Formats: sequence, C-alpha cells, structure tokens
Amino acid sequence: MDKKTFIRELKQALSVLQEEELDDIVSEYEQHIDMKQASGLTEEEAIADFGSLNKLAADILEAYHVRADYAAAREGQESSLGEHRRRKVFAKTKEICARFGNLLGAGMRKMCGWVKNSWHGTKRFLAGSIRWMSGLLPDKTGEKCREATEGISQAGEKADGRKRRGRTAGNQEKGGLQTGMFERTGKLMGRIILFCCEMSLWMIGILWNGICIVGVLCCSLFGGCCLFGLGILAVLLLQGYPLAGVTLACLGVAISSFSAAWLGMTLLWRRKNPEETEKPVSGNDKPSRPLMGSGQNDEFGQNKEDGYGKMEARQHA
Amino acid sequence: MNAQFKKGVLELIVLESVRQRDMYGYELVEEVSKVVDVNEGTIYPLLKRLTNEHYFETYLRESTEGPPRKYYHLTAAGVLYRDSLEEEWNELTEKVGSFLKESQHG
Repeated sequence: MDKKTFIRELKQALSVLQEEELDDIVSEYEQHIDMKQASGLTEEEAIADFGSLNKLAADILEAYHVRADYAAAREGQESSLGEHRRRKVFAKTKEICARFGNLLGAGMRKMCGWVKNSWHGTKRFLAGSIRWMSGLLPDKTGEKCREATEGISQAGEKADGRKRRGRTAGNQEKGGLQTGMFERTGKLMGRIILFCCEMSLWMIGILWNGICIVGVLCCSLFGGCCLFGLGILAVLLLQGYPLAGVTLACLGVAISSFSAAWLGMTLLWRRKNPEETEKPVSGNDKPSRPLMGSGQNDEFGQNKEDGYGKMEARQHA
Repeated sequence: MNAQFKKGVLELIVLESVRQRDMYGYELVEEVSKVVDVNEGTIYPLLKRLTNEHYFETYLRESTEGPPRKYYHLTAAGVLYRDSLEEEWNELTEKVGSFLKESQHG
C-alpha cells in the first residue's frame, strides 16, 4: 500500500471525526511516513509498521471516545443511510398528511353538513314565510276554486238559461264586480309580492351558485398553484435545503384549498339533488319554485277561470 | 511482551518522555520504541487523547527539513497525572512482585 492509498483509506475510516481533527491526526501519520522514509525505509515498509488499518482506525477512534464498530457500520450504511432517512421522512410525512387529511375531512364534513342544514333551514324558512304570506290570499282562492269548479259544472247544465238571464242580472253583477275588483286587486298585490319574493329567492339562489362556482374555481386554482410550489419545494428538500417547514405549510395550504373547493362542489352538487327529488313530491300539491314560470301561468289561468267561474256562480245563484 | 502490559504502561512512558523535554510525534514514537516494542501507529491516538484530556499542550515549531512539527508539552495536570500513574505502577509492581515471591517460597 502506498502513502496516498493509506492516507485516503485512513481518512475514509475516520470520516466520522470532525474535519479539523481528521486532518490533524492524518497529518501526523503523513509526517511519520515521511520521516521513516528519510531514515531509509520505503513507503510500504513504513506503512506496514502500522499493522492493520482497521485496527489502527479503531484505536484512533477509541482515543476520541468513538466506537469503532459504529464508524464501520456507518461507513457500510453510508450509501443506504440517506435513502433510509428519506424513506423515514416520506413515511412520516405520509402519516402526518393522512392524519391531517382525516382531521380536515371530518371537519369539512361537519361544516358541510352544517352549511347544508343552515341553507336548507333558511330555504325552508323563506319558503314557509312566502307560503304563509301567499296563504293569506290563496286560501280564499282555493275555496273560490272549488266554488268555481262547482259553478262551471252547474253552469254547463244551465247554459241556455244563463243567456237569457244575462241582462236581468246586470244590477246584481255590478255589486259583484265591485267586491270582485277589491278581491282581484288584493289578489294581484299578493301575486306581485309572491312574484317578488320568488324572484329575490331565485336571485339569491343564482348569486349563491355564482359565489360557489367562483369560490370553487379560485380555491382549485390556488390549490393547483400550491401543489406546483409543493413539487418544487419537495425537490429542493430532497436536494438538502432546509425547507421542511415551508413544504409542510405549502402542503397544508394546498390540501385546505382543495378541501375548500370540494366543499363548494358538494354545496353545488348536493343542492341540486334534493330539489330533483323534492320536485315530484311538492309538485303534487303546490307548484314548486323551479316551475315558477309555468306555475304562474297556471295560477293566472286559474285566476281568470276563477273570476269567471265566480261570476258564473253568482249568476247561477 | 504481552500486548496488554504494553498498552497499560504506554501512557506512563509517553508522559515521562514528554516530561523530560518537549518532543514532536515521530521523536516521541522513537523514544517509546526504545523502551517497549509497540505498534508505532498506536502512539498517535494516545497523544491525541492525552492532549484532549489537557495533559498535553501542543505548539508548532519550524524545522529545517519538511513542514513545521507539532511539539508536545506536559501541562501541570499532566505532571500530576504522571505522578499518580507512577505511584500506581510502583504499587502494582511491588504487590505483584511480593505475591510472586511469596508463592515461589511458599
């Protein structure tokens, strides 16, 4: 073994030491070999006098209170150590992420449920208040409706008689018209209020949907940016930069923004589904909100029929 | 000579050598080699340890040939330590000697 190899191998065996100490002790051996050479020995002979390099390294490490087997083990594992550490960090990060995700998921589910409930609650409240408001007038309408239908059926039978009585019943009709006017304007007011309420509700719905969509888009965009940043940070982290904290923070922000986006999505998606299931149920007794346009027409149609029928009923009476 | 004997007494020999005069590593190795036949490589770690335990001080001095040499100087603590080691050594040899004599005569 020549001097260069010896020094290199000795340095490798003592790599656990601080660089300063390592250079210091190695220079002693270097000098020793030089002096041996000066006294007439060859490099190989001088180095052979040291005996086994491993034994020598162990002795040196013992002087530094370092266990030789630790140094040897470290040397053996050096290549796999980095990988092992990285894997450990990965596993830990994964675990933390999973835990964080679970926690976040549970929180979001709760919040989603809460928001959903509160939304449905406000919807029900609004719908209830509108029903109550419109209920003041349509209650009578309902009765009149029945009257009207009865009137129509009866009027059908006595169609001929009605033509003849048309003029003679003129005075009675006038009084009926005056009360009918009052009722009609009241009904119209009710309809307008109902229409306004429904329109505002509809607008609120559209606004809410818009906010949800914009929020979802923003959140997902932000999340994507964070994910991109996270990738860069992860690569830098693996290269040895001390960015673990920043990377974790970035991961957290990305997860939370995606979760927020998901929350928005569920709000949009879940809001549509119940309406679809509610439609056939509510459609039977009262026209539901989404069918507003057609419902309005029906009601107006009914209204006309109603007034007409009422007049007929009066005539009939 | 038994390697364990040598190892045990090496410290005392090194301390005594440096007490007589300040020496650099190679010089010290040669000095010790005169007394006991020891692996030359093992003396440097010993010097290092004694220096770390503040029994030695080191300083550099230019030499006419080659790079500057690191000289070892015994500190006050080193002197005390050397004395205690010598005492222990004397006690040990005395006891072991008397034990061997007794067993021989007995």
